[in-house]
Amino acid sequence: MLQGLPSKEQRGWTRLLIHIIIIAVALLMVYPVIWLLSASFKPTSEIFTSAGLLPKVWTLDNYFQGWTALDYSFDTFFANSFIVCLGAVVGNVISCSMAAYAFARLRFKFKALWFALMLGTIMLPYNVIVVPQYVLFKDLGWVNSFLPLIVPKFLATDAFFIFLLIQFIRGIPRDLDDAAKIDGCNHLTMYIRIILPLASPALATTAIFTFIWTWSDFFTQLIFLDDQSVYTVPVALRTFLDSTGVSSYGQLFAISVLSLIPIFGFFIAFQRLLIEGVATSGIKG
Amino acid sequence: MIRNPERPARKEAQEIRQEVKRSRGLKLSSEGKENLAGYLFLLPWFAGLILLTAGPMISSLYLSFTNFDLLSAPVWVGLQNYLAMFQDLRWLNAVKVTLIYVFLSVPLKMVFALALAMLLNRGLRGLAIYRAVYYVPSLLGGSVAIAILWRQIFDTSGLVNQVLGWVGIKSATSWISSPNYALGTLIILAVWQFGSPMIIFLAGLKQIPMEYYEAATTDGAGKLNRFWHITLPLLTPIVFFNMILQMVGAFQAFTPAFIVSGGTGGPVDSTLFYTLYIYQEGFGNLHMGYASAMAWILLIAIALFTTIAFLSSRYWVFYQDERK
Amino acid sequence: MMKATYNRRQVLQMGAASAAGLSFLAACGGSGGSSTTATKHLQLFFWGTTSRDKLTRQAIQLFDQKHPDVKITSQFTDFNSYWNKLSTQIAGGGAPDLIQMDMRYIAQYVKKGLLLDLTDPIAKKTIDLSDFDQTLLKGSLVNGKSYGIPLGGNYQAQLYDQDLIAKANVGELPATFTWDEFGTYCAKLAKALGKGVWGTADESTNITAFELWTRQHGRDLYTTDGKLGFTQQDVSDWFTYWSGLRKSGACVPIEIAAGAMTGGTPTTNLVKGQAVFNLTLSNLVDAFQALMQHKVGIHMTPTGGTGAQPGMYLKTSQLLSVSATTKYVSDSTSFVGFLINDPGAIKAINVERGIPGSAKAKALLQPTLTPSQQLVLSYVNSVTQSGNARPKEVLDPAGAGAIEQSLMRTAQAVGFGKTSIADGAKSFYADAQKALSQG
Repeated sequence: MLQGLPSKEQRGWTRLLIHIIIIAVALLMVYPVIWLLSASFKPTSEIFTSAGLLPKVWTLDNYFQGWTALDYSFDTFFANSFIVCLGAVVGNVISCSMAAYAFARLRFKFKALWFALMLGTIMLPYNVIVVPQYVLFKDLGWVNSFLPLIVPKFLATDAFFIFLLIQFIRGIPRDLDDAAKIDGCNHLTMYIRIILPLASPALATTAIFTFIWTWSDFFTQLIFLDDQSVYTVPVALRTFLDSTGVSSYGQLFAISVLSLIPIFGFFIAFQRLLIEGVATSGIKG
Repeated sequence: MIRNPERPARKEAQEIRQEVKRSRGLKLSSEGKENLAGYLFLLPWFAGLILLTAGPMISSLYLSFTNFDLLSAPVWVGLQNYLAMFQDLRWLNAVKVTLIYVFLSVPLKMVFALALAMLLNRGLRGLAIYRAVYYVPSLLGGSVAIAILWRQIFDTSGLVNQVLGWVGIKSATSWISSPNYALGTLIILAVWQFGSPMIIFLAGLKQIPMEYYEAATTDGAGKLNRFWHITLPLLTPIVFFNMILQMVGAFQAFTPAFIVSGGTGGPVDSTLFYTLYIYQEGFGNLHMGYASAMAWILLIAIALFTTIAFLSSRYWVFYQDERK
Repeated sequence: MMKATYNRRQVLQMGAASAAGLSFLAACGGSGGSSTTATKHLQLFFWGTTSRDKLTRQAIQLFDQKHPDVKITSQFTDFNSYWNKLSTQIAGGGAPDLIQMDMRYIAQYVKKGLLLDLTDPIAKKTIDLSDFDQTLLKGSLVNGKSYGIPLGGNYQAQLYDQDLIAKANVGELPATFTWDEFGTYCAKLAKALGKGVWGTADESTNITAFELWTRQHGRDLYTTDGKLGFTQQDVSDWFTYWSGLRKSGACVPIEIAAGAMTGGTPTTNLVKGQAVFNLTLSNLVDAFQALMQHKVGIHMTPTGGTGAQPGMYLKTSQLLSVSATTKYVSDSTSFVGFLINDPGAIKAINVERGIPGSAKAKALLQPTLTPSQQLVLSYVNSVTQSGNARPKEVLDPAGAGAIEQSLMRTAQAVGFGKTSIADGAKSFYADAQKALSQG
């Protein structure tokens, strides 16, 4: 495959082989979703006792009953999750790209120190700072609202994305910057007109990951949301299972299938930005 | 007015700017301007750091020197928690399990991620679909569904043993329930979720201008050459990023072990990830002080490994924004 | 016009935009629940599933109707998450008014002064316990006082797969058996049922089972002054017993056993059809039956034989406590009394939390129970009358949770051959002492 100039035949075989590999791997990736789908159509008593993917008894009960199992139906929870996730996405994209621009492009005093601190904040496990954070938000009166979930994103607390964007921005050659500076652009304009567009694959990545991780973030949402009216999907899903009572696995799986759809949708919508890539035809050699 | 004699070519533009500045009454050098710009762009992050992160971090540091059970006020005990750690057999085991997990799963994951990213970058038909499909495992993440499924797949009559049977290997081992193999199934789970680094690699690959490839091909470079001399070097910032973040993530891995072992870290503590042990001690046994101490040791360890990585990066990571 | 430096207006605009955004989000965020009327707002927090929630909501609605100046809001989550959230809330300075409690945790919470002493409301009949099961009540006291009212009681039980027993055809299930007889019977079952099915799940890791064993020797797991009640020999005998069952094929092999502990009810050997018997608590019959197509039966746990003491005891499934810092003592305590005695409430929460303690409640519910619920009720009644139970009078101290986990780990290690029975007993005993001292 990586020899000089392969013959047409060799290339044909190679392409076939690649396709086979890709499809085989794809099946491995997708198998759990298929299993999940099939379990969601089985009655709970069948899920763990009958092997095999196809349900012996097909039922839609899990979907209907699961949707209305709590005091509010799941459209409330889906809506809440959307609000939280979209807020988080906007917050992260704006604040993390700003910080990343500073670290990647600007020189300022103590930069190395702030950089080290920024990285440091990624390294402490969350469940240790959650209690002090809870106390803080409690004092602010923000508990039982979306504020503790969204405001931190506007303050660039997901240093993961800052670091991601730094690496991407540093991969953009400075020639365009220099040209822009000569034209009289200040940093803000450069940030908005040049860096952001060029870093759009990284921004899309930030948006996608933020959405997906926030959508499935159970622990923070459990701690800060008290009333069912503000529950998000993960918290609501957890209520289907309990070791001390009768768990509704079928309903859990059914709603889990449904909750995959928005993340999948968001991913597909944004991945085009990833594909489109970068128009770098302005680079002079 | 401050002139910068090292940039004679820009002198004219500079002068004009200084004129404008003077007319506005501000006296900022270009360095000062950049300084201010830097801090203004960092403002949200600073706010977040001071208001939301620093406080809790300092709090947790303080707690690590106390006995704190969440239900009543913390009691100062000095270094007791830290000293107890090194004599705690479960802690030592957690360290071992985590190190194995990190240093096996991260390289494997990266290799798969890069390989598949390269394969998918070839402009194949249905690329978008494949890319989405490969990302599905990461979407399922730490869901209960995955936990249940993973246990089923690696159980005595699960998919893995079935497939082995097709190839003639008769196996009745319950991989997921065996203390020798349970961790292996978690490593496979991690590698199976290579979608995230893969997406990042793809974005990085997309950012490499086509012109470079075109120029190289015109010069007669073959595929391997192009990969080695263009793709890989230009990708090194992304490789570095993925490596660091995957490593940090693996050190902090919690959900896979939590859901696959039911929170026990079993069987026989063979899947007791470090953060799972922190969780058990902190929220389970209400030894929050001890848990905080363990968390800070983890942070120091991660910082150490990261620093080593950063120091090494000078030798193999190539940034395009370096001025020659 | 060339801009050479930052336009302050731009920066302020950004600030204003984000402030506007934040206030929008604050408005979007859930209601803090505050209203300007004189309504008293109480919070109830419990663990359970959606089915329990529906029943609880009904009871709450009935109460709110009868008390128009009170509004109770309830939250719930699963058992594990419950304690995380509750302790975080308490650390943050705000506990719910009504707290569902578990016997394993209540001692700790009482020690920290977090729960209200209910002696007064009981005496004043706000919480009327006149026909309440005295054994159940006594078993729920902390330091002789009541800090929570049991919402249900259950006994330890052997759940078993009726279909498999019929299939095995090795003779009728004896009404009672000793541990040894149980072992023999299970070996017979395993032999008759063939490959892949064994007589019993591996209970060596199960603290509930070990507790029975210890109590049958006349000791309790813990002593009243917070020390270990069992001896190292008890542990070693226990491990030996199960090792024997593994060898004879009566009990599932260790790997199958290990798989059963990871995922709650669905992964148990009983549900997966790998074992006929599974030792657990009587109120879980429904939970198991919901996941199985075979019929689930309920049977008394093995006895200690002649000369041994009864091992089983009526265990409070969960209690309802009142926070010591509640602003609404009389309303909270009257809700507790309401749940226990009001016919509407009794019918609402049913037996989902366990068999109620009040005799009136039991009588009220009897005709409405499903077959499996009848099964549980008759089991509970029969055990009480059989003489195989005696009250447990020692509360689980703080650290009991860690001990439970340590037994699981150590018994597994013994099963996998990673440590000998003697060493395992020694290390478990040492772990247990350490856990108690750390509290």
